[in-house]
Amino acid sequence: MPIYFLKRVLGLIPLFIGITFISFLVIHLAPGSPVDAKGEFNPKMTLQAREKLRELYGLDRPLLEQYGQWTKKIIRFDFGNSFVDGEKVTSKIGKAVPVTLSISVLTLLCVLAAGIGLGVFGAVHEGSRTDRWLTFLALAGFSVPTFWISLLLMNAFGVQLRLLPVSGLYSVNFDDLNAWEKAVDIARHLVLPVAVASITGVAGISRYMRNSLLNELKQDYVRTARAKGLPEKRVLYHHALKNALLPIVTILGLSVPGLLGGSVIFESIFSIPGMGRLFFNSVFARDYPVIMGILVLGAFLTLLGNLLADLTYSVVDPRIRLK
Amino acid sequence: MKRDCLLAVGWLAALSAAAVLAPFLLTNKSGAVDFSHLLEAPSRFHWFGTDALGRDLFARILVATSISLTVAWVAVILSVFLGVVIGAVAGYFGGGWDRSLMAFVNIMLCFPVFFLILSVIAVLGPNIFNVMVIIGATSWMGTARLVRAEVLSLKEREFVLAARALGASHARIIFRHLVPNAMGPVIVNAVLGLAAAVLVESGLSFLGIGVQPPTPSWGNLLSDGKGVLGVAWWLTFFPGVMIFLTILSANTLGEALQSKNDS
Repeated sequence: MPIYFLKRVLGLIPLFIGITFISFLVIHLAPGSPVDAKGEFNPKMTLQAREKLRELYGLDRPLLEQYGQWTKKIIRFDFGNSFVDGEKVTSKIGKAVPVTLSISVLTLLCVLAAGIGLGVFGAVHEGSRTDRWLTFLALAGFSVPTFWISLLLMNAFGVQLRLLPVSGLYSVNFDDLNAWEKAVDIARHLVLPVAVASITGVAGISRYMRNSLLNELKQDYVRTARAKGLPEKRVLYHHALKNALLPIVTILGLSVPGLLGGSVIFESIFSIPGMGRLFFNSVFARDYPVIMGILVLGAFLTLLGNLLADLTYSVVDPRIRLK
Repeated sequence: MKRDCLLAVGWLAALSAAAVLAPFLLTNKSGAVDFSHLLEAPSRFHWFGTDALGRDLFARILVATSISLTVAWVAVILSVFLGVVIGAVAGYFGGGWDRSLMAFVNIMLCFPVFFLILSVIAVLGPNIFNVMVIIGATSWMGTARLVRAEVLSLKEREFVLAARALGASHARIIFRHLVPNAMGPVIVNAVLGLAAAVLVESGLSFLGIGVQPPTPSWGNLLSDGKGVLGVAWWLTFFPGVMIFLTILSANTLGEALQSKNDS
């Protein structure tokens, strides 16, 4: 196990170099240079000022040297300062991460609970009318654009019924509320975003779970368990479900890029101050240091997610380690 | 299953027809600004209602259909092309080619795709051409892996040996003998990729960083409707339905093809 672990971790190093290199190239795709792009917003910027900026970001050096400098900084978690307000990129991201992270965790919990439940139900009642409906709904949920569903739900629950708030994380009078009311307030603000963010995941996991369980139920050991007279419930939940859940474990790790990418859309719709919205605003403002910071961080989180998925899988299914 | 497929193919065919015929169906007046008919609900005269500038939504959606479908198709074709070439080269030549190209694939797969797309758009600027190219350039990795795996097993077969013995060049072996035999899974991937491309394009346009108005696309029509959400439901409903049904159809078709391939 330690050797497997070490191998996997060492394998990350070339990937990390690749990630930083591609991120670095992305910013140099700009016709001219990032300094020109920044200049667009400020036509009064003098030639000298541009030169200064160029020096500050090391843009007058050869490309590979710039890359070296930049990577050195990144390893020390120094992504520079925002073009927009000069705030440190790490502090900007640091403020946004907890918001996105807590929403992601809530979303994952919803996805797992609903997805596994629906998937098991579908597999147990394979071919029934409900199962056929669930299968269709899962495909529909997988296909529906989340931003459209967000608008429909915002209109229904926020505008027409006035049941739920549709933007931000707090109400205006948040500071006047007591602790209990504060919790309720945040919870009410989170209902729609978490519901919307869960749709694709629930659809995906329930399909996956259904197929995985159906596959297990066809195995010999299930027939053996039934043949020796175990009650169906025990066969299902004790024998088959345990094994059917194994592949789901990896999905947790692999869902990182989806959660991050999705956060851009629903955080901007619901005005939630997380990573997605920070990223979106930075894209609009062409705030390159922030964009690069989030891009590298996102790729790094994906990498960690993949690693975690592999490692957990090798823990729950020891056969994997033999490879 | 069969009925679902027929419906899916029917919808995609009808859309493609509408997209191609849109210029002939519309006159100069359709979709023009008309201040005497602002935000009218769907009626006999305006099937999908009118927007905040009095433009007929049905006409706008018809134009948007041709734009959105074009963007999605060009993106998918680019992605299939990149995936096939990179996968075939990696699988056929093996060794250093294989290792470096597959390392590149693995690195690309580490990026949350939406983040990568947004970053490139931030740098290059949002316009319809960039959107097509970027979606294509960030979605070829799955196809490349598939093609590589197929080519790895196909290249050991006798017909490849025969072609080589007859003096065929590497390029001829790859594109005449190997790639056509690996197309099955590639087509499945392309159909599913079409769904993804429609979703990404409409998402970007919805956020205001995809296809730029006044050129309509399903995504930016939806974003126009967002401002008058409580007043004019039709402006968000119809563009969304178009996106949803198209993605649903492509996914249904892709999965049907996939299960046919597997069996």
